[in-house]
Amino acid sequence: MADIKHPSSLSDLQALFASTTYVAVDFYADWCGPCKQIAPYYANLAKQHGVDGTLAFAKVNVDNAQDIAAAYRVQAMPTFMFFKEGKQVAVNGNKMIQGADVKSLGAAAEKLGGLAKKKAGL
Amino acid sequence: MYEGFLALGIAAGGQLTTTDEVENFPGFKMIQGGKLMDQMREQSEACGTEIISQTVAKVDLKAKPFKYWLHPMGDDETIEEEEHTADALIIATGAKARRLDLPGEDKFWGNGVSACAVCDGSLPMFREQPLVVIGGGDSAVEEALYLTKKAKKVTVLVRRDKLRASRTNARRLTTHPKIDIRYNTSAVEIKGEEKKNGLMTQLVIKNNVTKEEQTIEAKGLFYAVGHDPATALFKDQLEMDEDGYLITDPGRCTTSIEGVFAAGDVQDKRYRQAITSAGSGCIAALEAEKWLADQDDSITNELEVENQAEKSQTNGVVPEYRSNPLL
Repeated sequence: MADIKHPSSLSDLQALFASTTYVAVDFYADWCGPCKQIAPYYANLAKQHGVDGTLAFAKVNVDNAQDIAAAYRVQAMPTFMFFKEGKQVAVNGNKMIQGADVKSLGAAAEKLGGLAKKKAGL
Repeated sequence: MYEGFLALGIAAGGQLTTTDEVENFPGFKMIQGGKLMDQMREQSEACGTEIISQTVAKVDLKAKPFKYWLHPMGDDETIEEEEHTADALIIATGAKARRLDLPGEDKFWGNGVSACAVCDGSLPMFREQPLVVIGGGDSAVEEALYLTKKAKKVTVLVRRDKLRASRTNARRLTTHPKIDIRYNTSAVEIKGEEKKNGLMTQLVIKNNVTKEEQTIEAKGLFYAVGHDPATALFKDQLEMDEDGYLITDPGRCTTSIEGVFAAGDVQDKRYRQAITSAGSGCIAALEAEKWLADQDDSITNELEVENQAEKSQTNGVVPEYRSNPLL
């Protein structure tokens, strides 16, 4: 159980990386329909798999946090990326998930959730 | 109401979710398409509509009640076993922008190639870059002009020797300093970085008259080449025209099957406006309600027995109503 984090700048995101082992990031925009459709699903995944200090689910508004979007070369919305100790990692062979792909996102969250629980000793 | 989960790759709310500004919806001087749809959804929910974010996978309209099945959320390959039924059906599945299936299109889709300038055009990757729009109609003009706000240069490829857009729109396009129009020209191939998630960098174009091919610099390619109605679900069940649009009785939204109504772009290739779709949606709802009431035997009408016209026994005799038929 953990709330979704909303880093608004690159330094915010780096602070999150420093405090949390695994981080999933949803790069979205307010005007993006698919982002809106998958948002409740992502929130649910956060609730289900988030572990304070070990696995965080974050949302980055690409229009407001342009420095983050540029740093990670976000090319489509939504894009989901995964990080371990601040380094981008592939989950289930996917470096990132582009588009509101429920299946891949669900599988990735489950995998990260499992790793996080093990690490947190839950 | 089944709003679908990214049915045909479009978010619930349809084409309007990818429309920047709507300037001809009564009551709004200007409103973002996405916002308008959010508000319509809220209004609908407030009226008691149960909204389900799943896509309808299959329908059977052969017998009443109509039967339909759903896809699980986000999984368009599986069909749920559960069978649902409906007494009346309103189809408002809309239409979707067409793709061209050019070589390289799949590879660079989302990495430069897009069917919606308004949705993707403001991404950082397109700023101060040369971009290309394909199409010669009003939507091509809109997309190209929108892109000029951020792009370095916008090349518009028109298949024929002239624009199909309205005269005002054509003038806006031909006089814009950042726009280069190439007539009689088609795209042949999309080229770009070879690596994974590589970006599009060039477009091969061909002059349809001289057959001459040329490679131009392009970091973005935007399609504006028409629409396909979302009617695959109803193939061989409802009457459609040669382009796949559902055929409806003008002004009544009735289809070739009684009890099935259609509204919006799925049955309209001519006007295709938010307001005309809202209007036909209202007609379909009223007609469906009336039709359902007509089917319900428990709502009896005292006059009903009386309002039947006597069948004429011989040709040429006008049937006579004993009372006014109810409208």
